[in-house]
Amino acid sequence: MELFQVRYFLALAKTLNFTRAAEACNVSQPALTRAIQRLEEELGGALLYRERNLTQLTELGKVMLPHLETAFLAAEAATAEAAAFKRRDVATLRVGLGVTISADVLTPVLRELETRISKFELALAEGAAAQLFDEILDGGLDTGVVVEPEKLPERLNRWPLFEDRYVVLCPAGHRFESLAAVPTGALAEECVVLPVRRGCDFAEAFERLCLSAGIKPRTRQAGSSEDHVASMVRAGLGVTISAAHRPAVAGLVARPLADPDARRRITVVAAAGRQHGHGLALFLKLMRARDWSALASPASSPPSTA
Amino acid sequence: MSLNDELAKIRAQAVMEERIRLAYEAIIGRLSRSEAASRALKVGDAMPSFMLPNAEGHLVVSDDLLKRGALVVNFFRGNWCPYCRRTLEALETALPRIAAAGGQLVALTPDTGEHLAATKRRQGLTYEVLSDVDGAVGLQFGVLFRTPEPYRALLAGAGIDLAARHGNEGWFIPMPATYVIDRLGVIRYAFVNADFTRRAEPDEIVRVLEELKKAGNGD
Repeated sequence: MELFQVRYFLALAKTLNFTRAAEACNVSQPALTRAIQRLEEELGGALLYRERNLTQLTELGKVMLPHLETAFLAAEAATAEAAAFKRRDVATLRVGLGVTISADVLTPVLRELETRISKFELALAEGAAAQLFDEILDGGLDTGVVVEPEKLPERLNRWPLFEDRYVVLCPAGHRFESLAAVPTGALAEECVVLPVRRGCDFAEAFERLCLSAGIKPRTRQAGSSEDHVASMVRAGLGVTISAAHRPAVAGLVARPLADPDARRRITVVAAAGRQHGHGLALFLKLMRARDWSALASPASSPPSTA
Repeated sequence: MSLNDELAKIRAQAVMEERIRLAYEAIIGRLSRSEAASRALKVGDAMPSFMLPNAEGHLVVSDDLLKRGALVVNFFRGNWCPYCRRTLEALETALPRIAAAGGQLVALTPDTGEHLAATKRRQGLTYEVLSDVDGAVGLQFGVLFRTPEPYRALLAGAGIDLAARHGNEGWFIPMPATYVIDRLGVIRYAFVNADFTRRAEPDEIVRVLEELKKAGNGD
């Protein structure tokens, strides 16, 4: 495929009119028609129905539209990035981070941007996933790194980064310390300290797992401060729920929950179909190209790649 | 034995299986009919500048590389492809001669995530492997195409999920392509083939770099 063919197709998909698309692309109509024919040969079928007064996308055209748009926007962004880099333009980035995700997930990428971009302006916010999604769609944030919910707004693109296991945090010397993984049922005899914090998925995951295991452990509510929760656990007032990728807490031991459903997926999201500024474009590329396997909790059986 | 002799052996073995032969022919037929390879960037064209993440999580900027000398850009489909794996290894073997001729080597794939580091580790590569996220650079070079259905089915059957590897559902991969770019950013050698089992010979790449060096354009 050539970039100009894709540009012509996107103009046609927008106008559904060969004359107007040719005008929009600043080419003659025969040149546009030829380019589209070539693209159709390469994609193996017609992209448009051409009738006297009606131009419509075919099924193949509809299927290909978002994919061609993605590749086109990426190529355009690549040109803009290279130019902005040469001009030493300011790059801005506003990132939202889910409240139970360690900022360590972001820092290597942010550090790389700080190193490579002469004027890098960064704002980091934290919040509940739903709130971050609203802000991204409103344009108040560029991107977010969140625990992937069951349903994501359609206008957001998502790229899964890694699978993270829920863990139990207990004081050193606790009976769980000798276990490789903690069966949910074993929590029945424990008091579980739960953080009360908007957007925190730990309490929700705990309730879901207890429901499926048919247990109802005693719980204690703690404030939103991680420090308060950790102090209570260290003092022997109970165990708590956390996630495997988070940094170790002094004096506490983390053991994964054995239930295979005790997992969550960490995902980076951004608004779909928008031309990204070069700060965001580079951030997304670095996040997506990164090797997350060191943070990922091992899956039961990795998919085979022949 | 030349690289292409070795690749011919892999091909001869693979196409004995009919579904592989049909999927292979589907790609070559589609790309030949649309003359895709002849429409990619060629000798004399300017290389589009790029900034891409490498396997170590750093950004690699093509303009920075060109300041140091001539550049070899090798597009590959992914380490799921046996022809790519063999070619990447052959390039590693040729790396001292590429460097001696004043060249630098980068390999670009649409794969993302752990696949970059895995490619370097498994194929024993010391040169840069870059993620061409969403095929942006491949599209600018005109080497990107959508894998036809029989080939997609073949890959899916082997557990190779390009959508997951690429982070998009486009199933776009590059035709295998190798470019040599002089330090002014002009393409001086272009190998693009619709047939993914045929690749640029490392000896040929070294020869082009040596000529550039002799002419004073490489470094």
